[in-house]
Formats: sequence, C-alpha cells, structure tokens
Amino acid sequence: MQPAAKAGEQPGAATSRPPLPAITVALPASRYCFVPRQPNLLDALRSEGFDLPFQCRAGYCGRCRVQLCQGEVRYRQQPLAWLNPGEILPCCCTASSDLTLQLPEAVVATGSWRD
Amino acid sequence: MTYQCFNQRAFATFKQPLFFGEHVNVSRYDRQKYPIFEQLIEKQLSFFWRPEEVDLSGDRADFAQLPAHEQHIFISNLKYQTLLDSIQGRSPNVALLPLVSLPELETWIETWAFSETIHSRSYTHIIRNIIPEPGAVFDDIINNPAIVERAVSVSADYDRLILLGQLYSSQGEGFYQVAGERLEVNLSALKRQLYLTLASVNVLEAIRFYVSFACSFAFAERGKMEGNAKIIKLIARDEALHLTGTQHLLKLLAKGDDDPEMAIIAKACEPELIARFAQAAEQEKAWASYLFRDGSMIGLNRDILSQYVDYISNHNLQALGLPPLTPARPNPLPWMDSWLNSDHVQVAPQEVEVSSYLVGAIDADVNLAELEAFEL
Repeated sequence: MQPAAKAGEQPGAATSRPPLPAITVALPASRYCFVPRQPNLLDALRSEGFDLPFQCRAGYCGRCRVQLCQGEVRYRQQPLAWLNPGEILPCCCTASSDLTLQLPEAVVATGSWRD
Repeated sequence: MTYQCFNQRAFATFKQPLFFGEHVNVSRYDRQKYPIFEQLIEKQLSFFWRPEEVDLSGDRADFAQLPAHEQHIFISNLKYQTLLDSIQGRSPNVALLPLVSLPELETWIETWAFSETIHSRSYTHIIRNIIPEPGAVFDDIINNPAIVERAVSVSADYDRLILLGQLYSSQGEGFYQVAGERLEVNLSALKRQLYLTLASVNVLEAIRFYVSFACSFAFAERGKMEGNAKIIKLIARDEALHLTGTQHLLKLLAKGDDDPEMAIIAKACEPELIARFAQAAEQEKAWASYLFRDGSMIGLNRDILSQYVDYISNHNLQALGLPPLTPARPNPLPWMDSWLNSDHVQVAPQEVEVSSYLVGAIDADVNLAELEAFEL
C-alpha cells in the first residue's frame, strides 16, 4: 500500500513509485552512476549500454555474473549457478540498497556505455 | 574395493564425500549433503523435451537451397555435435558412477547423461529430415580425420579415468602394465584424474558446444534452418545446466571441505585445467578453419568464430575464478545472446510452473462479509 501523500505534495505524487536504488559501475578509470528505471538489474545494466551476456535469466547458467563491491541484493529464489565470493547474478536479483558493481572486463572493454 | 551395485555395509550416508567414499546403496533423497544436485535434477526434469515436438518441415527445403559450402558447414557441425553427445550420453555414467558416494550426485549424473541421449536422438531426427541417406553422415564421423582428432582429445581423460578406476576397483593400488604403459594406480592418482576429467567435461560444455551453437544460430539469423535452431536452443538450455553442474563439482572439490586432499590436488591441477581450456580453444579454432575451408557464410567466418572462442574461453575461466587466456575483448557475436535466451524457449503451458496449474494452491481463507451482497 502506498503511504498517504504529505501536505504540499503534488496530486498523484502519492501513487508514484519511490526511485529504485542507485547503481554505480566501477570502470577502469572512472565510475558510472545511474538510477535504474526497471527493477531487474540485468535489464537496467543492458539498457544503460553495458552488454552483459546472459542466457537463462533464471539464475541457473551464471553467464551474467558480476562482482558486487558494495550494497545488498535480494533473490526471490536462490540461484542454482555457482557463485564465487562477492559475485551476484543480476538476471534474478533486485537491489535492496544502492549498489556498486564491477563488470567483466570484456563488457566494459566495449566502450559502448555512455561515460 | 570392488564395485557393488548395492553396498551391503551400513554406513553414514550423509557423511560420505562426493567421490571415493562408500559405494552408494539406497537411492534416497529425503536429505541431501549437497542439495544443489537435487535442485539440478529437479531443474533438468522440468526441461524435458522430445525432438519430435519440433517441426523441421521447413528445414528440408532450406537445406536443399544452401550452397555446397554452407551444406558442409551445417552437416559438419551436426557430425561434431553427434560425436560430443555420443560421448556425453554414456561417459559420465561409465566413468563417474562407480566412484560416486552420494545418492543425490549419483542421480544427478544419471539425469545429466540421460538428457544428453535426447540430444543424440535429436541429431538423428534432424539429419533424417534433410538427407535422404542419413547413414552416410553417421558413418563419416569415425572416418573423418577432422572429427576423429577431436574425439581423441574429448574422450582421453574419460578413458584414463575409467581405466584407472577399473584397475583400482578390481586389483587395488599398485603398478600395472597396460598396453605397453606402466601405470601407477593409487587413490591420489585417481582423484587427480577425476579432477582433470571434470575439467575436460567443463571445457567441452563451456567451449566446444558453443562453437556449434554459433553456427546453427548464424543460419537461423538469416531465416534458414530455423527448426534446427529451435532444437539447438533446447540443447543449449540443457548444456547451460550441465555446465553449472561441473562448475559446482570443480569448485566444491577445490574448496576441500568435502575431502581435504582434493583441495591440494585441485590447486596442483590448476595449470593443467587452464591448459585444457587453451588446448580446446586452439582445437576449436582449427575446427573453424575446417568448417569454413570452402567459404564463409553471411554473418560468420573463421576469424569471427575464433574471436568468439577466445571470448567464451575467458568468460568460463573467470567463472571458475581463474585468469583469462587472452586480453579482454567484447563479444564478437552479440546476437548469440538472444538465441541462447532460454526465456524465449516455447513450452506447453502444462509443462511449466504457472500458477494456474499449481495443485492445492487455492486460498481457503474466506471472509464471509464478502458474501453479504448475495441473496438466494
């Protein structure tokens, strides 16, 4: 249930969703920050131009694995793929706090992301 | 100790290691030491499919219209995949089952190998559909040097593990002369060979299959051989799960919680594991040269396929926490992802877990006030 609108808020503000946690991608020489428009982390990263590979979108193949440097994520169902320490599967988790991620070198090497 | 189909000793089932403990007796799944293998079984069973479900009628006409060099690419790939799945349909059972000590892992291996037999059946289904005399294609698999060369490297680790396992099981530790080679058989040597075999299988699932998948999807990108691509999508979904299975095994053994000696062996085998990735990458590039010897196809040629081999080799080494073989470069075949996407695999509604088919999922909490407006 949405909380009641506070005094002074624009009509309709009470029904708008709170912004999703911010994502920071640690790049080799800089950082790229954005606020995702969709809760699915894989879709959010891909829509920003990070061509993360993916296959199952259900947590069993592990192809989209990325390193979580800071923050917390939540899985609706524990993924089956093997995860090394610090790795998360953006295809099947949502951010529960602001996140800092490190993507595979092959992804940031593309230069297709908007820096 | 010789293998027993039903180990009559009483032992603590859930205290056994993954391999080289007691031979499994009761196939029980009430508890699991490693629930991941039970979860993989469940997932694999939910994927069940039959090749006959896929309509290949359009492929026959497509194939007849392909130029000769593209027919060579298509058929050669099918031959290679037939070889890989011939090996994978039997070898996990023959090589690994006598060494396993946990029921959930034993059943995962059997489930895994069974799904590979479906893949083999699907190649017959595809080839029968496009070639009037399918026998010639199968016969060539053991006569074609380019394919036989790969058969040797794919099956060598399995064969050695089977031989060492048979000697250990029937004769015990010692030195044996087999086919002119002096073999030292002991538990450590067996564990080492097991680890290397799992590494070889991981390489097969991680690199070798994906080279063939790329070719199949490259045809389908042009609207050709789309029935075949539908089958390959189903195979790719299964293989992704098998790859996860071998990654779990390699990493669980390397952690050493299960068997401390295995951690030492895994660490010592690391250079050989990386070498197996490097060797497979080179072999797959050589295979790409063979495939495109008479000409390339639109969207795919030897160089692009070789770059893809480097890309997936690096990716899968990193999945195991190991360094990449070559400098990081972007995926040269970005369209592969949409073909590999298992979300797009079409399934019958009764075969997926949709809420409308959940049994016993009715909400029995009824607020009687909700019915007040009704009058009888």
